[in-house]
Amino acid sequence: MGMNDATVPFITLPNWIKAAGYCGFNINPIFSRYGVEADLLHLEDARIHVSTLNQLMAACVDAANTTGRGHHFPFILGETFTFEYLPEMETYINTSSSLRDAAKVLTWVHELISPFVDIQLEEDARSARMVLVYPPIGGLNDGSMANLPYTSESFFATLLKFTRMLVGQNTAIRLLRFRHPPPSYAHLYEEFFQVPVAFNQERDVMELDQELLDRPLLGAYPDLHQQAELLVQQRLARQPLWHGTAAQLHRLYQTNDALLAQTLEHIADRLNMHPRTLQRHLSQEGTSFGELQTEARLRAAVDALQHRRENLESLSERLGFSDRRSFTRAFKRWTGVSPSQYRHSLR
Amino acid sequence: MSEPERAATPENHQIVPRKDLDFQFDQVPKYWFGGDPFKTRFFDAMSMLFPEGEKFFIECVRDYRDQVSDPVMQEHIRDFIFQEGQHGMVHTRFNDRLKKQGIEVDAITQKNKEILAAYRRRTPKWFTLSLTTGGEHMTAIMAHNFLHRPEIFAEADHRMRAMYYWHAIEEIEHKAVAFDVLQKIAGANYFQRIAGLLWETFLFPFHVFLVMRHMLQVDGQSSWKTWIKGFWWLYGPGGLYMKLLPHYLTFYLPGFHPWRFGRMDAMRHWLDVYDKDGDPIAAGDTVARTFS
Ligand SMILES: [Fe+2]
Ligand SMILES: [Fe+2]
Repeated sequence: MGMNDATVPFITLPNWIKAAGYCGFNINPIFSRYGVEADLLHLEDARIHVSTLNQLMAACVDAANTTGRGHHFPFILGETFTFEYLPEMETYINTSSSLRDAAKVLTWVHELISPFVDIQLEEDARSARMVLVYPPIGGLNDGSMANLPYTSESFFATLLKFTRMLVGQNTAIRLLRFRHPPPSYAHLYEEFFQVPVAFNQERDVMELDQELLDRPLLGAYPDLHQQAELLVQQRLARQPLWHGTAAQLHRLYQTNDALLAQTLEHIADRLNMHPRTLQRHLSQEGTSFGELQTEARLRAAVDALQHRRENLESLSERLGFSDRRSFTRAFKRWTGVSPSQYRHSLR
Repeated sequence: MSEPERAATPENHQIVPRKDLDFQFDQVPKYWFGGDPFKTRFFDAMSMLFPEGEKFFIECVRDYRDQVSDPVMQEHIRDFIFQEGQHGMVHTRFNDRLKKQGIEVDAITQKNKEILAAYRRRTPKWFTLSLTTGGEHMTAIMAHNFLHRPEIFAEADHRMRAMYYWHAIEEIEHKAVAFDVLQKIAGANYFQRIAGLLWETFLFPFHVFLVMRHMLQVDGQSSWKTWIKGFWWLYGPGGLYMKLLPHYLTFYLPGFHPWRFGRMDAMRHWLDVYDKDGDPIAAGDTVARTFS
């Protein structure tokens, strides 16, 4: 499966129609131009090529620009987003007892809606951060989703909307950080988000007060919440599997920390493959062993720093970094701070 | 306990997704187990722990789902998750009734959730899967015994009995799913396999007793006499736990597989009645009549 064949779910199709209407254009001709079949009967199974999704987005941005209403399409797509066709997700969010509780949806969004973006929650004593991560799995890492500003724009619009809905309109979201340089329409950002914005950052991050995570929510409704989560679990189990070697490797690392320090040969053996076959598959999927390994190591590092008391020396060794320096460098590239700063900022 | 001698999940084994079952909880009396507060609250306490526990089991098995290439095993995992999801939802509905009796359902559920989340965060995936496998062994032995020893539920309200029988049937149907994933996909060794069950053997009853203590206090029934009598019912000769013990121990045999042990006749009987008219209460009643 080459990277151009990678498809992602398109259960959000009705949201696109709604956002287009809001922006003042008809999306029907755009859908036909790119061969998108709109069929509500099979919405749960609808899939779309990543490249098509990118083209669709660009076309919608252009169309919105010509209507004269002055809307930037990704902002509207994000802001008008609801889980209409995943009703138990909406119920789960609305019945949460805290923002932390609601944040569990983020991993499901990744699995059900947008495999090309994973949203991780990080926290220290003062701030909580929702970080957009672009996992190189299933041939989705050709960079298109990660490099366009549109993905982060619409994701943050949605995240802000739900956060404000849960914890209150005038919630102090501290800052939005974007990786991309300021676009030509940068002046629209603060007006739209109503939050300070920074460009050219290391990662795409929404920062808020840590205290907000555990603030009790008015809509808490524990039994419905519990039932909604079980329904989501049943839905997740019906999802088709992520095929491909990169996905397999990704899962293998997630379930087994001890493999992070293992060599390519060892891992290939574990997957019953010749090392060269493994490398070939990964490169066909647009990624590499080193890339996947580093990503998995850094995820494990963030996790360990948050939840364990391991010293940095042994952590960097356990994760398989050649030395403390290369660990620090990689970690800093990933989170923006060094491991010791990261740990220091925790309680 | 004797009868099947299989070293693996039977071929063509089906795990059937069932839904929309009605147990008429609104007609069940408060002390539904022979009017006995201790026995009733023993099952109610388990019922309180089930939905979060089942969610935990689902997540721990799902951790490995993407590594499974065998389509039959994939299907079993999907149906296992469906069944556990239904159990959780039905128990949540029952637990909602306990709230009206003054039981702190939400607070206890929240606590339970935090404990299980800590396991998910702090312990390796093989261990949480081992906990799941151990938990599934405990539910499976309860299931086999509840169905084949009708004296256990003889004094219970027949609608509640029907609910536990249904849960038992499905626990038997999917009893080897977590086990097979642990053995074949996670590649657990003997020690890793038994670690979860050992851990739970002490903690699970302890949690049940903590929840019961709260319940019996709310009921004004927490006297020494109640507890001593209750422990005798559980641990005395011929007590509930003692009845489960031989089957429990089979798990520690090298080469154990869930399908090597456990009678199946009551289950076939249940399926015959249920498949005819889809009434779990009638199916439960028939099993209870036939095997008494
Ligand atoms: Fe269950
Ligand atoms: Fe089960």
